[in-house]
Amino acid sequence: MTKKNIMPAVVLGAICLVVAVLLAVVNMLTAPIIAANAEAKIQASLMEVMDGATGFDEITVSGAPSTVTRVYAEKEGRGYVIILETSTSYTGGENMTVSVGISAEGKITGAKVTAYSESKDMGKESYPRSFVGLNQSEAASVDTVSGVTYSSAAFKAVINDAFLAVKAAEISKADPDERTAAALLGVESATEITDSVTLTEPLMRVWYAAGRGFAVLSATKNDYDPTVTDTEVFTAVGLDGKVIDIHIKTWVHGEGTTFTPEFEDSFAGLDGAGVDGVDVITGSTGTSNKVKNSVKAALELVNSGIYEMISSALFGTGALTEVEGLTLTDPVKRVWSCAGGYLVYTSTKHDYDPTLTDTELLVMVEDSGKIKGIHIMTWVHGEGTTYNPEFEAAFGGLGADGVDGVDAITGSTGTSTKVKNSVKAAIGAASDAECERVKALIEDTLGESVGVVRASLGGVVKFIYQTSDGYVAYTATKHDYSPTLTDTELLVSVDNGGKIKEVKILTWVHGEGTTFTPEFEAAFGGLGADGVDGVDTITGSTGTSNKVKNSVKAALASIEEVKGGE
Amino acid sequence: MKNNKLSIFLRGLIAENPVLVLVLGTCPTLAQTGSVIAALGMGIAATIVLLCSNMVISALRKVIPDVVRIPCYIVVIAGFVTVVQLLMHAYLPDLYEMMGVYLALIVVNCIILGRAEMFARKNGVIDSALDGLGMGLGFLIALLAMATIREVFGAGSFAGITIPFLVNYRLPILTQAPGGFLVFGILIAIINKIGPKKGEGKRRQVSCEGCPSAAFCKKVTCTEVTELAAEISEQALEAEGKEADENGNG
Repeated sequence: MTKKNIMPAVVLGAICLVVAVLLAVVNMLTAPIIAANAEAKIQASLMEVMDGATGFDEITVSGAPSTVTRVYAEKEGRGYVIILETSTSYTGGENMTVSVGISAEGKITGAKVTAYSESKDMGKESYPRSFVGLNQSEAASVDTVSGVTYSSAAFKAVINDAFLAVKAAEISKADPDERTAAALLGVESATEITDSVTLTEPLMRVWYAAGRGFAVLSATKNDYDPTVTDTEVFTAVGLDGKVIDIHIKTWVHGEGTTFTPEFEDSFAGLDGAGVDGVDVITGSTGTSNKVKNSVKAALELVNSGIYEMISSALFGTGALTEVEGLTLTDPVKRVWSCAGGYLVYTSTKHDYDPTLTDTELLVMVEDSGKIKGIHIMTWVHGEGTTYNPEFEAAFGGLGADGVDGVDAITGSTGTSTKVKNSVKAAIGAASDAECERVKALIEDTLGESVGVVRASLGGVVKFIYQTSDGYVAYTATKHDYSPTLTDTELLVSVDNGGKIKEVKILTWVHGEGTTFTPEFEAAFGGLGADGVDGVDTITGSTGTSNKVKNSVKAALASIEEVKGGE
Repeated sequence: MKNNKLSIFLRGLIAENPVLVLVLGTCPTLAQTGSVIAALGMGIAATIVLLCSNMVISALRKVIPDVVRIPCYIVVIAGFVTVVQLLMHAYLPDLYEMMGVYLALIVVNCIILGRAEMFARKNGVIDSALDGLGMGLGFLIALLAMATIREVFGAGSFAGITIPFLVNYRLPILTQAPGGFLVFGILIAIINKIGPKKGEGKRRQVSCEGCPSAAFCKKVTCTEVTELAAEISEQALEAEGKEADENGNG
């Protein structure tokens, strides 16, 4: 090899080396500044993509898509801002950075491209704006930009990744036990209802997932050292009252033996009696039995009060008392009385497969006859469409005449209509239950049987009953400042001539504790509608006295209306 | 000598303007002249790279073997472009964003490699620097001229500052590709009209010196030679005709 052949390579190599050193030096000097600029831009974008944000905390999320570089949670729970990096070119490489804000309601609050180096502009400002206010499915249907397909398609893809990152963040936010409970139930998240349920050892915590069932965590202490927890078991129980699956979180055995996956799997599909038949682990009979007892305790809890657990958690109903002797018509299956009203369970069968239950609801109806809330326990739709939380929430506060105005779920008109009809039936069942309760009360009070003439849970006059010589009206009023509190309840007995026979005050709630007198009740006797205003009010309780007088007048008017209708 | 150095510098501004006369570097010219700021950034970046690369290549012209000169030039040019890119990214991030991919494309700008090949490798460092500076400023001037027209009449603004009257009567097509070509073509036409005539110069350079027919024709201009050749041809044809007649009669 001669000098003539070597020199060109040497010279070229030397020039490359010198240029490389120069670039290395310049890069060393500028890299921190460039990084700081990029960081400042990203930080500025956080506030830009979420209006009204007060500040952000960076959080660690597992299970987010690979394009996600950072996730920030807004300090006051307004939502998340996701920072993503993706490629827009044929050859790969990361050359587009996007900040996406997603609200707690799952809608895009803003999107900003913070780094974009393609020569053709996809509309760096205008295209992201077209996504604001959209949820995940709406964002997926936004068109790409003609002529800039790769970049705009990449942008759409990172928008979808941002939604996935939010879901992952919500799951990560949950405590490990909640994640285990959700996983056992086969759902993304489950609602903890521990505070709404009375638990006894070894039961510790309970979660509920609509349409699936309950997950119960139990823990047992070591027989010899009560400070040591030797078993912790998650038991997932379906709405049919049987085990879906179990997960042994802790198994401490003195001699080091452990459980097998087959042992866990052997509980699936069993009821309480079936659990007794599960074989114990050889050498760990005691610990195995502790696990079995934990599972049985979970089954017992769920089977003793599924509905109470759910309604307490969702509606704050507390203890439920099943209403007996009520004539129920489909789809109403069960009615309970509870604090503040009635809980009604409805169930409908599939039109083509009568063995399949396609909707199950719990409807909480308040004393006023309005819906406090509904909970869809089961929604089975042939094409897999499902309901959304907004559909359930739309029923809140409505009376029977407002239910038809609730919009059906697109693509599920039939199932939506079944839900609406079930809700109306539930309101009717609650009205019947209340009517029967008051009837029993009247019969106890007056000592005679009465017949129902009019039942309507709206207004001051709730029910009118017919007696042997007239009518009895039941009225109830709500407190002016605490609308959930019933402050007066009356029974107004009226003879066939329209004169008051008796006014019985069942409930009198006064803020300063003053009460009514027997003389006040007696003062109404023999009066007609025009005489009621002349009754003196109780000193110091003018407001409540007037409520009683107005209730009496309303009762008289309603009875006259009933008589006129006969 | 001083005039020579000045002429080297001035040549690149108008007479041999790289964009409007030599028609080099068309891609960044059309892409970056939608905005005056972008044009200014591109022009200054290209000038710096041109100046530095010309000086280095000139300094190494006796060291770089001919067989690897192009790769060496490209390494040097790419190195300077990357340095400019890093500095702009660090200290002028907004301008860096505005220029996008065209900043890196300065590496393959014909003006830079062209001047390195045509001038820097044959001349000294000072002359190469002046040439680079002249060509760079010529590039900058051309870009600014185009950008001013396109942004003022196309977007109704200048350097991002809205012009109150013009913004209502702007022609958006000027900021887009067709408008860019239109303005480019018009500017070239204007420069061709008002600049030095290429044809005349070339014609003046043509003389009988070196012409193989000079001893034969002994004429001053080729026009006269052409007329003489035509006259000789006619005479030859007449002579042939007469001879044919005589032979026919005889």
